[in-house]
Amino acid sequence: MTEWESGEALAAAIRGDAAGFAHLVREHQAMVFSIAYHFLRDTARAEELAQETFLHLYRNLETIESPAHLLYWLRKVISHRCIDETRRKSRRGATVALDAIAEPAERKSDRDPFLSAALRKMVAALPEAQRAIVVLRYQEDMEPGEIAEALNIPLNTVKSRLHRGLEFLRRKMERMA
Amino acid sequence: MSWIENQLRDALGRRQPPEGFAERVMERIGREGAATATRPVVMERRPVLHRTWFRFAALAACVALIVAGSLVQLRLERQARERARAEQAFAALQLTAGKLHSVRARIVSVGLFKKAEEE
Repeated sequence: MTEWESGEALAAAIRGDAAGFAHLVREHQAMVFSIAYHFLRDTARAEELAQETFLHLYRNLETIESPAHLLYWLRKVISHRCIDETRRKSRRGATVALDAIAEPAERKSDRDPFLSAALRKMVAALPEAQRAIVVLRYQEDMEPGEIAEALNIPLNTVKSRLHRGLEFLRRKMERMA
Repeated sequence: MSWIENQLRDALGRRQPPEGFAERVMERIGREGAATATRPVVMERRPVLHRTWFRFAALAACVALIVAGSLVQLRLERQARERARAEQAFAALQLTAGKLHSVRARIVSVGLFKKAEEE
């Protein structure tokens, strides 16, 4: 397997090198899949959306200017696709009960795994706009300004939704405790 | 950073997709990659009827309509009451004028009679 320096894989992929593109997929697959997974709580749908995102990237490679731009582009596209998917689902009337959400195997962690699982379920119950912001903020460590840019919404909206989301989660956790 | 934020960072960590994900993406690109039609990335907008601001605006418009309707109704009722009162007063004045007229006629006729007797 070819070893790529930062940026080389992108340049190679833009030139049409399949190995370069495969490297990009492997480099970013965890990020793209995790955003979709934390958003949808459905492994199959999350993989489907992640695949569609990389397919879309392949068709728009010439618009990517740098590795940083690629990261920004992928986060933006997967977030929008997740929001679209949830809205389409809710319009069809398909709702998932909080207890019905499957919880995959836990990662090894020194923190309370039950608490983390409960938090993930609560995040999945947030309205889609708040959920996207919470996932991007705490999975990807994105600043509110970056989230506002990625989701095409005002900075103050991001801050207020984040605040409301955290308040909701805090109250739920307190009630659970 | 608050306790809940720390917990969220821990709970929402990155995870790897199922085994063979990159291979499946590359296969799919081989199959569909050349297709020109792509799904637009633009976020779908929620239908107007589903938006929170629209619901609030509709509610505010309903309340404004009800208040305006009630005010108009009150004003019309007040005007009708005032009109009835004016008509009543006018009728009373007409009655009084009639009585005064007949009294005056009587006084005049009595005066004329006395004058004739003296002469």
